Amino acid sequence: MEPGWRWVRGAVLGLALFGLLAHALALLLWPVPAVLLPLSVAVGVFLAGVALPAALPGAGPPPRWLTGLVLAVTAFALAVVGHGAVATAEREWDGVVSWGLRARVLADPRGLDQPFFTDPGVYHHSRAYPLLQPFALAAMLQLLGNGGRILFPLLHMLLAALAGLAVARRGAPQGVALLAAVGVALLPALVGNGGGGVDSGYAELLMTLALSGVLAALLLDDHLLLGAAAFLLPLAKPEGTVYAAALVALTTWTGPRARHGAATLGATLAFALWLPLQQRLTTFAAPGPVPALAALGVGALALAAGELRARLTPRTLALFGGIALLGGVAAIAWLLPWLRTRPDVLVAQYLGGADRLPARLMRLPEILGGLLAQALHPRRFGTCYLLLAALALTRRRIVGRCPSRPALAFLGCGLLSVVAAFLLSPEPDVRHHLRSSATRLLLHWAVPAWLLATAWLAERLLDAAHAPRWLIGGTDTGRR
Amino acid sequence: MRVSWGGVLVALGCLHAGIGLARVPHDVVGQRLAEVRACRAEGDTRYLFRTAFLRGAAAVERLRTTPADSVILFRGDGKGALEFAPALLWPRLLVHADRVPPEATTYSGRRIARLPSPGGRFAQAVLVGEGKALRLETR
Repeated sequence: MEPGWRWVRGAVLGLALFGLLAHALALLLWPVPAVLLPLSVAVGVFLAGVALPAALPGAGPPPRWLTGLVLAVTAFALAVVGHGAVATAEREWDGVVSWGLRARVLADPRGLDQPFFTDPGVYHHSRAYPLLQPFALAAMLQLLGNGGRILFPLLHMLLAALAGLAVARRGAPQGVALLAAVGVALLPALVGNGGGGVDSGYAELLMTLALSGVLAALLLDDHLLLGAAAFLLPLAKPEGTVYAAALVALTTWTGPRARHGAATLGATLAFALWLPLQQRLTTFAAPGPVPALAALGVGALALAAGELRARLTPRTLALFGGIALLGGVAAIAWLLPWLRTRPDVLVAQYLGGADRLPARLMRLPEILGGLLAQALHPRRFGTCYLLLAALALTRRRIVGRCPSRPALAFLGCGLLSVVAAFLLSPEPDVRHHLRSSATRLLLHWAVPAWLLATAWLAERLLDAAHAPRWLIGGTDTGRR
Repeated sequence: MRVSWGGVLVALGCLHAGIGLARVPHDVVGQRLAEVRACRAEGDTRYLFRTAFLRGAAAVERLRTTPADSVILFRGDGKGALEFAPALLWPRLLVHADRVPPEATTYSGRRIARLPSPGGRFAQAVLVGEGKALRLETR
């Protein structure tokens, strides 16, 4: 498992390195060379052994016929999805109008320095949207033509391998690790047709990869991976800004320092690069120092808060937590007029509508019901949310301890942020918003949920006296 | 019969993989290959407009006959069918008609796309967004 995990970890580190360099070049209006992507991944793989925590000993493999059968069907499905990605250009709405178009424009050697990005008179559907996926796809398109869309199946395989190998490094039996990987590889919402699917060209795949990287890092106490995945969050999709903020807030209050430092540094660096670039894209002027300084300032405050937390008693901690929460609400209230002047920035659209909250709370049952129906829909997410809910809601005496409480808390924060998105949405028709966005927002968290659920299931099985041999293998790990 | 809770959890986990595997023949393979075939046969514009329940693919196809380095003027509703136009017309650029004086023939060094009007004379083409539909007019 070790070489496999090094490739996976290296690919995530390489993707983060590519994001760092591409955004730095774009800030200078320099083109992003296509070879930067494969070079960054190569450097990431080369550095994959740095600060790598040791793996827990695993159990034996499941029967060969089972492994062979499942892997053969999965490989066939992945090949068909790969064909769907490269056979034509994008075939779904956002994939065409936003993500694919910006990648094709960026494949032009002028990069960001062309009228599509610099002329306010030119129609541009999603000016303020993050650029990591367009940069990566542009590099692949330059190298391979439309075959560059192989990027999506490659990210899909990386995601499945990340899930399986992360669970294996937690000491899970190889049968459960295989289940984790296959569950991601064949997740209906990913391999099906429609927006959010692997070959749709949407950025849901990249978003869930970044979130799964965070989950895996929390499960494995891998701080370097955590920093890289936290860095990817705000650069993948607008929702990533909220997820990154939630991660930093969570690590501030749960520690330890190294974990909090990694998450904060990753997220802060991403914001310090992305916010000035976003300002350039939306105002058509050279960015001032304010966005980057604001990002660095908030990051420094978060680091200081983490340090302070380590020295406080639980009671003082609760007091400071309450003050921080009130301060956050007051800051949003203070910023409301400014937020309303930035309708082009998605997060500003949502926070700027905080006054919609009381009316929307009346529709909370409808929102929760709609989200629950989607999350439990087997044709969207199989049983990944159901299994996690079963594990989380059952008494600890029966299912054992959660393998990582910070990971569970992060998932909880993420799912709460999905509910909050519907409470604050500028879309007046809640039912329409649920129909159009619920699946995609829940898709962000489906793979992290499955990853945590299978890691938890493995712990439960290793402690169970009558666990099925075909799943946990024949080798005794000595952990029972 | 006594049901083991551990067994239920294992069953839920395996059911997830089972659902994924069961969906391979129809959803992953059949539907995807049908989509790819349809997109190739119809062309991207007609395919996208049909599957998104939009009208006006012919207008986009007509504008695709203009030089690739031209500017296409547009007006009307930016949401809906018009969202597809920049991608389907790239590398042509869409510029709001109000930003370009009627007598101008170029915008930022690019020629403004012209098409024959009903009278046979060439005139500037304007793509009009009307929610779920697109239409062409000249000025």
